[in-house]
This record gives sequence, C-alpha cells and structure tokens, in this order.
Amino acid sequence: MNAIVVENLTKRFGRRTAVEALSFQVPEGSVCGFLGRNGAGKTTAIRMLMNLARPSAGRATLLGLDSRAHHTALMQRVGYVSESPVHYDGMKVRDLVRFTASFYRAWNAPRVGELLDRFAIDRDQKVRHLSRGSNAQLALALALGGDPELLILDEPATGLDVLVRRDFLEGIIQLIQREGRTVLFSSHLLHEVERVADQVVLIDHGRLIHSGSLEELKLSMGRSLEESFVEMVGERARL
Amino acid sequence: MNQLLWKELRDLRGWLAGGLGLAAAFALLLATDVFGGSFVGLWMQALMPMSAAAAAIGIGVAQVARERHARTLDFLLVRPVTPQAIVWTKFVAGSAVLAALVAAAVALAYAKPQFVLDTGLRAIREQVSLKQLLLILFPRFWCLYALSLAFSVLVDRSLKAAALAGVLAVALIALAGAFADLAPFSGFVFWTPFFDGTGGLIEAARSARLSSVTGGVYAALALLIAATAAGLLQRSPERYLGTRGLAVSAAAIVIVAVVSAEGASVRLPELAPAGVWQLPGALTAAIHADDVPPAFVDESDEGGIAAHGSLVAVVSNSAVRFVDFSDPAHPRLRSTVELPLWQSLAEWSVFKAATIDDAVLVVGQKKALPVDEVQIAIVHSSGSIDAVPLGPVRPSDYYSVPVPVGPLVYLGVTHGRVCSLRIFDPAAHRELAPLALDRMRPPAKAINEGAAPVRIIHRGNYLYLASPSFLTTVDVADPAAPRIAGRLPVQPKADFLYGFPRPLGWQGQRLFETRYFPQSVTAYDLSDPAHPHPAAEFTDHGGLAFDGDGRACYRPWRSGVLEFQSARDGFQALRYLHSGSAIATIALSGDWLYALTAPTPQKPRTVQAFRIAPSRGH
Amino acid sequence: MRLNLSPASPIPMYLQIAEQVRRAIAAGTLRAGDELPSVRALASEHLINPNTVARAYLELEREGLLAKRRGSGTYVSSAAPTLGEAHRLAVVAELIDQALAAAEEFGLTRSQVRALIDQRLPALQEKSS
Repeated sequence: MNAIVVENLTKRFGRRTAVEALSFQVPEGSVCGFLGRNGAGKTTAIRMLMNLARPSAGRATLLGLDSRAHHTALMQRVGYVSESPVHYDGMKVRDLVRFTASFYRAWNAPRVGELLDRFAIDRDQKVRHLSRGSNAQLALALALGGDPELLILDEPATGLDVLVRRDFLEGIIQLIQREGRTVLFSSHLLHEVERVADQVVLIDHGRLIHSGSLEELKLSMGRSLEESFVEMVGERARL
Repeated sequence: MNQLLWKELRDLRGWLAGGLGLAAAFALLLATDVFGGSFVGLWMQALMPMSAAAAAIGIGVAQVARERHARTLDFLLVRPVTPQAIVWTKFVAGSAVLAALVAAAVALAYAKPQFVLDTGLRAIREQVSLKQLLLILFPRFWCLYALSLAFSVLVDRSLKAAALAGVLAVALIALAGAFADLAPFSGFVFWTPFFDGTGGLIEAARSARLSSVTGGVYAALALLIAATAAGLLQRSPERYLGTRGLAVSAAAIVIVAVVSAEGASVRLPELAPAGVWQLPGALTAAIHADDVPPAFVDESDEGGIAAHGSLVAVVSNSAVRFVDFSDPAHPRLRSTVELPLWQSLAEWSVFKAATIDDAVLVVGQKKALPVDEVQIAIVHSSGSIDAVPLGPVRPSDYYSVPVPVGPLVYLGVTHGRVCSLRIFDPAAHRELAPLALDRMRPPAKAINEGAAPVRIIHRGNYLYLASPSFLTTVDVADPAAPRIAGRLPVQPKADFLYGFPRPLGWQGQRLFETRYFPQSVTAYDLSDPAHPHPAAEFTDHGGLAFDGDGRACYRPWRSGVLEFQSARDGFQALRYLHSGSAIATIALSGDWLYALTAPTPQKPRTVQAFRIAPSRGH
Repeated sequence: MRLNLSPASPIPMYLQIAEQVRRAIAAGTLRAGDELPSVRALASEHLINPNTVARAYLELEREGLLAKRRGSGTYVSSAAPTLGEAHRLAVVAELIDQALAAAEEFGLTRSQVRALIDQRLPALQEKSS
C-alpha cells in the first residue's frame, strides 16, 4: 500500500515550468526523503500534494484518496509543516492551539502539551514573540496534534539551530514508531536525511532523477547519499 | 467552525471599534451643536454613502487577499475545512460588522431630530423611518461588500482588490447618474446603488413593494456573489489575477459601464431648431489678467421668454426685447424696450412672462419712494409701457405668473397668510374684486417658512390653482365673474413641506401637480373639468416643472428640450428637441416652441425656434 | 550502549549497527543475558530510523547472537559468547590479512614480517577468557 502516489504532476507558472511530469510512490510506513537543490521544485510539488496549488496536469493520491477531490477529509489525517511556517501572530500560543484543535475530530491534546513542554514554549506568550526555532517547533507540535497518518514536512528545520533540527528528527522518529505512519520530508541537508530515510526521491529542475530505496541507491552507487546526489545531478547538468 | 467565526470577528474588531467610535464622536459633536444642523445634510448626501462604501470595500478586500499575502491563508487551507466554508465564515463575520457600521452611519442622520436646516434631509427624515432607510440601503452596501470579497479571492494584495472595487463603485455611481439623465422616466432610479439626490431611493424606501423588490434582488445578488467567491477559492487557492489581469478587469468594468449607459440611453427622434436668434450681450473687456478670455455677459443671469404668434419677447432684468420669428430662419429684433428702475421678481431662478396681443406682462418691483412698489408692467413692442400697481413690496408676499384670460389678467397673490386671486383689467386700468382662495394655517414652530407660492394654469374654461392647503378650480367662462367651482384639500407629505410650491401643468385630460422632497408627480383626471380627481402618483426625476400646452409636455433636458406625454403610469418620451445648449426656459405658441438657452461663459445666449407641429402626441 | 555510526558511509546503517553489536559481544562488553536498548530508545538516542535498528536486531537474531523474550525486550543470547569466539578470530584474522597484503605490496619478506610480529607480540596483554 502506498501512502503517496504521484502521477505526472506538473505545474506551470506562465511560461516557466516549475514541476514537470513528476511520478513516484511512497510506501506506507516509510520515511521518504524528498531531495533536490534550492529551486528544484520541492516546495511546489509539496504544495500541490497539500492542495495549496492547483496542478497544471497530473494528480496526487494520498492515503488512497485523491488530493483535490478529498482534500478536506484528508486533512484530518495529514499533518503538514511548511517552510518558514506562519501562524496568526496576534494569538497567544494557548489560543492558537485551541483554534487549531477545533478543526480536528481527533486531537491529541496531551501529546501536544508534552511537546510544548519539551520545546519549552510558553503557552501564554503571543506567537509573534516566539523565536524562529520555537515557531518551527510549535508548527511541528500542531502538525502532530491531529495524530496524522501521514506527515509532510517542507524543509522544516533549514536555517535553524542543531537542537531544533534534532527535535524535528526526533518527531519524525517518534511518529514512525507507530504502525502504518508515513513521513515525507524535503531537505537539502542530506546527511540528516540519511539518518532517518529509507526511501528517497531526487528531483532537479522540476524533473524526477531517482526514486526508490535509499539502501539500494547507496549500494549501487557505492558512496554516501551526498556524493551520489552530486554525481547524479552533476551528470544532468553536464548533459 | 465556531472558533473560525470567532477568529474572523476578532480580525474585524478594528473596523467595528473604529467605525462605532467615530460615529459616537460625531453623535457627541452633534449633541453639542458644534456643526448645527447643516452637518447632517452634508453627512446624508455625501459623507455617509462614502464612509459606508469605504467600510464595505475595506472589510471585503482584506479578508482573503491579506491572509494570502501574509501566508496565514495556507494555515487555514491545510486544516480539515473546505475553502468554501472559509469564505462563507468570513462573509458572515464581515456582513455582521458591516450591518453594525451601516446602521451607525445612517442613524447619525436621525441623531438630532428637532433641528435640521437641510430641507432635502428633513424631507427624508420625516417621511422615511430609520428602519425603512436601513432596509433599503443595507442590501446595496452588502452587495458592494460581497463584490469586494470576491475581488479579494481573485488577487494577492488587498490594495489590488481595493483598486478594482473602487473602479467598480465609481462606475456604478456614474452609471446611475447617466441612467437618470439618459433614460428619462425609467424606473432605474429606484435601483440607485448608494444614495442619490434624485430621491429615487427615498421613493423606493417609502413603498413597501419597491423596497422589498429592490432589496430582495440586491440581497440575492450579494449571496450569489459570495457563493461565487467561495466557489473560486474552492477551485484554486492561488490568485487568479496578476497585475495584467487586474488592468484588464478594471478596463472591462469601465467598458461595460459605458456600453450599458449607451445601451440604456433612449434613442429618441430628434428635431433641430428652425431658427436661432442670438441675444446681444455686453462684451466686457477682461478686467483681470490677460489670460482670462472675454465672456458674453448678459444683463442678468435670469431671463424669461414668452411668445404670442410669431412674436417672441425675451425678458431680462432691465429690458424686454421683441423678436419677430415670422421668418424663422431669419429672426429679427423688432424692438428693445428698457425697463428703467425695474427688477423682476425672480422666483426659483426661473422668470416667466405672459403675453397679451403684442405686449408682454411682467411682474416685478419698481424703485419708488418710500418703499419699492410691485407692479405688472405691460410692455408693448412699440415701446410704451403701462403699469398696473399691485402694492408695496413686502418680503413675505408672493406674486405668481400673470395669467391672461380673455381681456383680463389673473394673478395669484399671497399676502399675510391669505392666498387670493387678484383680477385686473389692463385696458381699463382697474382691479376687480379678488377671490379668496386659501387661509393658511398658523406657522409651525421651528419651521422657517418663506413666502407661500400660488401656481396657476389655465385650461379651457377653468383655472387651476395650487395653494398651500388646496387645489382650487375656478370657473372663468365669464372672466369678469370668476367663481370657485371646486376645492380639493391637499395633504403635504411632511409637515414642513406645507407651503412648498406645487407647479402645475396639463396635457390632454390630465392635470399634473409636481411635489418635491422627494420629487413626484400627482396626475389628476380632468374628465369632469370642474372636479379633478387624483388618478395616479408616480416618481419623476427629470428635473423641474414642465410646460405643457395640452398637446404635449416639454421640459429642459440635456442639450435641449424633451417632448413627452402622459402615459398610464407615468410619462412617455416622444422627441428630443436638440439645441446643442442647455435650456433655461421655454415658451409655446401655436405650432412653435421657443427655447431660451441657459447662460454659459463661453457662448452667447440664444433663442431657438422649433416647429413642433404637425407630428405631436395626441 | 555507545554506537559510532556514519550515516554517510556506503555501508548500510543496519549493517554498521549489527557489526558494532558483534564487536561488543566479542569484546565481552556485552555478556550473555545482557539486555539491549529497545529499538525505540536506540533510534531516539542516535536519531536514526527505528526500522534500521529493528533490521539490525533481526539480522543478529538470525545469527543467534540475540534472542527476543516476549514482552520484555532483546537480550544477548547464551550462545553469543561462544559464537563470538569464532567471530573474534575471524575479525583479527582479517586484520592480519590486511597487514600481510600491505607487506606484500611493500615487498617485505616473510622473515621480516615474522620478526615484526615477534617484536610486537609481548605487548599483547592476555585477558582471562
């Protein structure tokens, strides 16, 4: 069973094509690293999965449901953290959590509380006064609050300090412990991806370069993920 | 969903607090009489519609576009809630806040009931309750709000949506103005978007049927637009219009407005003037700087015109000019008769005269000692002037247009609080016994009454007179022995409108009485000429009272004169007498209509002759 | 348990974990009956995919080095030390092979190599097994 199936996903902005005929699958229960250089189209692709952007062609299926037709039902079961997450600034953390929780049928309040404690986020503070790191941690806590079956992270901790990055990796790991949970996360910090990913999807200039098991890739390339990536992308650049 | 609605309302708290706070501040100022009553008039006509429209647009444009720009819209879009629900929730919150703001804005106009200087506003307040006015106004602003919200869904910055909404609002206002002008007698005035000086909105507010129809349509439109906005966000969360799309949309709005105005403008058969006579004007040298072009200056800004046969008399403050139009293409000035020490009694800025044979009757005041005297001057084209003294000038007196009946002249006069019909025999230089018409009720407190006018028209064997309390029919089959044939008591629309002028006109079997504030026409059936009975009342927004000679009605319209006739429930336009200039006043004689153009600094005034027979209404 | 993992290395992580557990058993750091950290704990501590840890444990179970006791975790099996013996010898033998390969490459004679070993052998501290 695949948690994510992407078929021929394409996005054009006027004359520019950001994502071209992207097709790949992410098996249920895996941690999939979505890799590419800056501007490769990762964020655009992820936004299409989350129905934040309308594909010019192709489709995506999450947890067996079409991402556009069943978007609202899917959002009960999918957690998402965007790149540089934005929250309603004027609210206090407590109010934002309550506001977010109101949308979900099943909300794991103790879990969210635990995470906020672990991240040392003051519930009575206004969201606009949180540091970048705390803001990202808050976003992760909110994303995990709905006990999602699928967690999608878009460069969640890029630019944040090592401790916050570890929090994100831990979050991924904790989620994946449970049966049938899947994680897709994009990053260009390949050494971190290597730690936790068992699947990888590599894209460059909006096109798929490789998708499959990380282990197989490393075995066939005989080198680290970073080196493999550089070689594969560099090859394309030279062509 | 509750939490989302609460959040949307919280987002709008600035508007609510600001709007209500401002309204409270103004109410306080009104209570302390800082502005006096004059502010309320300004508020109603200009500021209230502008601030309500600003609120409607301001609230709507930010609700989606600002969140899209700040990226908080994404936060909502990845929750298990449909984009449609997001838009509807915003719509509900915005509508509630808008309702509060519009109510506060309109209520300000009703703030201090006892002291209002503005007549138009007073008429509104005394005839339309706050609730009625709100019921008719709110759906219109609701519609504007829904449109702003829809624009907000289309773009990525609130400013862009505001620009689009602003273009639309201006186009609608211009369109409403254009419709009133281009399509006379159309019922469009009832659909005026925001507020108008023509009173169409007021008339609609007073009629439960019109109120519910127009209100219902606007409300349905608002909901339809909101549904469209919701559908658009559901279809795609990204913006629909970039900068280029925005420019195209704005241009499209303007084009559609212009095309609608063109399409709606009534195409009437036109008639060109058969002859034109130019008034001589004193060419004054430029008094000021050299770059001020010389302008034709007539002796007075007013002026009147009367016609008898093909002799046209153009009356100004100090002279009467007799122009012979027997060869219409080549009119010639027959004589100019000066009126020394004379000043016509101007009334509502339109001066009229009447003719007997080749003389003009002019009512005016003559400089005299110790007090100026009111006279009727009978000015003959030969140059001689006969004067019929009426009495000393008194500020609260009113003298109507003189109406010749046979050899006699009738004049409606208000003196003290009594209206009477005075009768003169100009040939014998004597006055016959007057006929009392109306004893006015005592003056109401706090109403600053002016002189109460009496309006007269002559039809066949009867004179019809409109005085403050009555519409009186006088039998003048024997001009020397007039008698009152009937009297219809008249109900003013509001207390303070008692004593306002009610100009009369007639066409075919119908007598028309114009009322003001808001402007409407009461049509009376004259099948029994002695006893007119009310047949219909309808709104007329064309402007001032019209002239009729029985065969058709005429009034100044656009760059000429509109010829129209009575239809069952109103009027029907017939022809457009196109003169190329705005017309001040007209005179009818036989098959001809003579129009005196309004004064403009660029062009000299003219008299234009139109041959209106044989093809006319029945 | 201290693991020294290199995620970047071409050697799959689960093999690295397995190898290090074998080393620990061979060195006697892990004795028969010792409990290994749970999959969850090890994954959290080292920030690696728990599946990876699970796979390593599974591999070692198959080799007979580890045994799972239902409900209570993973333990070093009783057979481990013995199995470890063969492994220990194999690891050292491989290291010796590597040294011999280098010696061959540098053109050393057998007698030179023997002399080197004899020189160094006294440094070996024999532990009680």
